[in-house]
Amino acid sequence: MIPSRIGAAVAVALLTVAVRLYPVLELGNHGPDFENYRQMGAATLRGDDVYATHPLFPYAPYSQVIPALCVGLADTIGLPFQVLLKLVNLAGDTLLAAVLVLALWGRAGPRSAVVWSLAFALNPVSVLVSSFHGNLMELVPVFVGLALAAGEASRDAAPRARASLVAAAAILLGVAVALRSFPLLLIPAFAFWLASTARGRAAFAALALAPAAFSAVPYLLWSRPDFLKEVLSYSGAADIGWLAALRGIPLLLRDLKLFSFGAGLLGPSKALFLLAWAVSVAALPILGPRGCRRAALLPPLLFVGLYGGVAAQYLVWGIPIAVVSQDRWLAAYSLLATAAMGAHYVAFHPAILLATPPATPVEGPLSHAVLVLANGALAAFCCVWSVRIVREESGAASPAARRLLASGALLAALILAVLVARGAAEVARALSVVVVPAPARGGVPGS
Amino acid sequence: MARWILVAAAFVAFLPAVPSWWIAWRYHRIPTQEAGVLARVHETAPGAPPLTGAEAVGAAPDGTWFVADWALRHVVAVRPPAPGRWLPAEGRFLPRVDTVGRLHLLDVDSGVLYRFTPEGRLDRRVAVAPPNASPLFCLAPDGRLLVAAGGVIRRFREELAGLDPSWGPPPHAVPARATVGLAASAERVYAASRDGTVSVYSPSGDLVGRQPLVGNAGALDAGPDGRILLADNPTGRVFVLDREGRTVGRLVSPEGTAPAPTAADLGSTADRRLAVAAGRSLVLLALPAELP
Repeated sequence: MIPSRIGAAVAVALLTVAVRLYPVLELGNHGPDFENYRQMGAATLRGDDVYATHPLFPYAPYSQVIPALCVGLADTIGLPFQVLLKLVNLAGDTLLAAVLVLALWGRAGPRSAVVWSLAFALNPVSVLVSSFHGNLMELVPVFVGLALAAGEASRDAAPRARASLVAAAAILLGVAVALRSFPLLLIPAFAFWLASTARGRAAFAALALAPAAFSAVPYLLWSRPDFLKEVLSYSGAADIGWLAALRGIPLLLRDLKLFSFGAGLLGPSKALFLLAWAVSVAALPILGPRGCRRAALLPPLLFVGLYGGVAAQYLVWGIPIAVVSQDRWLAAYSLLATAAMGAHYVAFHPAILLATPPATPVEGPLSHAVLVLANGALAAFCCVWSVRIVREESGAASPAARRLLASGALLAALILAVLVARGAAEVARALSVVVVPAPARGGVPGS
Repeated sequence: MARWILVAAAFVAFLPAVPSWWIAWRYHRIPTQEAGVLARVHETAPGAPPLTGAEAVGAAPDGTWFVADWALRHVVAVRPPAPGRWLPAEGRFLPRVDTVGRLHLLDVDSGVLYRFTPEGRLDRRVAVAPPNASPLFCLAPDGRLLVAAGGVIRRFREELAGLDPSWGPPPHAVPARATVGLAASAERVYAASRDGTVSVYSPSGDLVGRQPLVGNAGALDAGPDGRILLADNPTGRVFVLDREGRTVGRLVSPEGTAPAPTAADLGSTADRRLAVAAGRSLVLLALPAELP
């Protein structure tokens, strides 16, 4: 049994490398994030304060060493910086794919373990983020997935081993928090899943916060103004989700590309998302351990479904949770997310998909239609999936609690409808602007 | 096995954070001194456009600042609170003023240097760099002109009478790659390079040292107290370098942040005022009584 388990893990790992290697080496290497990463890495190498250099880095300083190592290595061995950065993602993806096989083998059976691991290894969302885009956000699902695997292993372990594995799960989730902050929102679900007492949950949360806190303390002590200014400044952009769908309408109808859209809706939609997340946390006690593990999907789903400032790379961080939960809705999510990401890249960052930046636009009416429809459908799907998870996992709860949750969902839907209406009004305003074409060079209007 | 997984997780979680402590501590140890903001100049004169692309600044001994706006392609002379005066010269210039008050304007596109008398009359016009070589220049305290262009630094004799043969071996062009900042004191010449270092040369053009920079390499100015001021353009920070080019200090706003939004160029005066060209504004700062 063991050789076949290891063999399957190795095979899935090799497949993970195989589908990513060509884009890692050849595609997307002129993408928009690399210069930012390079400057960050160079600043870290020379001992500069990354937060004082305004690098669009609103996270804990933990991950600043990754671009720095890549810059140093690129200068030393001559490999392109972009490729080295993507190889970090590739290494993470490969490790996670193999670990998922091992983690699911006993519980789900060999066939399911391989199939579900492939749902991550071959997932186009993950491939796009890690190997085309080269965004380090890919490391978030890797560490979330490793934390899930450690948590799964702890369920059947002896008491002492169980304590070690739960602590490892907390620390691995903490690495994800240290990398990109947002997995902070997963801590309650993980804590309720893996710890049964309030003290245990508090200890889990403390461990999960420790890596980010450990790396951030020196900046809080000695560079507070720049650190806080950078960490609290970022609100995202309307790239993916319901606001992106609205932003795409002028593009579809009038070929009008709005680079600034919906800024006034980011704040309210963030509040709505946080409110919905708080309700989902309040519901954790009635979900049971298995339900809590699956409820870890709620933050990423509510984020995409309700928040207006979602960047494309955020679509990846819920995937390992769906894999470990063996939630079949992952297939539809992946399809919609891939379409939304692809259309976004085609319209706004085509260099991510190609070997060299295109000389002429590669977008057209079809990609614009996909942009609108896929983003709208993705946001709606994430909301529905969230409701489904809560409904299925709260089956044992009292009718009153279920009614309360349903009321919360209805209220969120109502607020979202108001926000969408406000966004639609902004679209109408954008469409009502009369664009006067510039006269041809040397010509006089009306002549 | 479980314990090893925990050890590995802890290793991954905490080891990469250790450099954060080291970097933050070293950066924190760079002494900071507050530079009070005297004025932020955006409007130039009634009816005239405001600054939109202030990329270079030169300080005159009489307290006038010559600001080159590369977006508007003109130079404006400002001396707050009096209204500014736009000069007729058109182009993208680097302004510098010598100790007797003569304005030097280097056209960065053509490489031609124009020198004006203190009364404003054009008295010299010399090509000091090839066209489109993105040249930089500075004036040594003795009035001699140094120009960095095409990967070398050249020095001109007094009164711009040809290349200075006492600067480096023939052909009197000292190699200096990717120079983005140039300044000269009585004893040294400093060149900041895009590779993140500052090179220090003797008056005869010998390389006497090279130091790594903490901030982004940018424009340099020979400030008071024998210190060199470095403009970190993207961040608006101003670093203080010692005679050897080592980073020994940083000027900060009263809030502890960078004193300007950006810092494309800077110029200081003997009475301890500093001007930072920051795109849409010129930020005038009061230098502390003694630089670090």
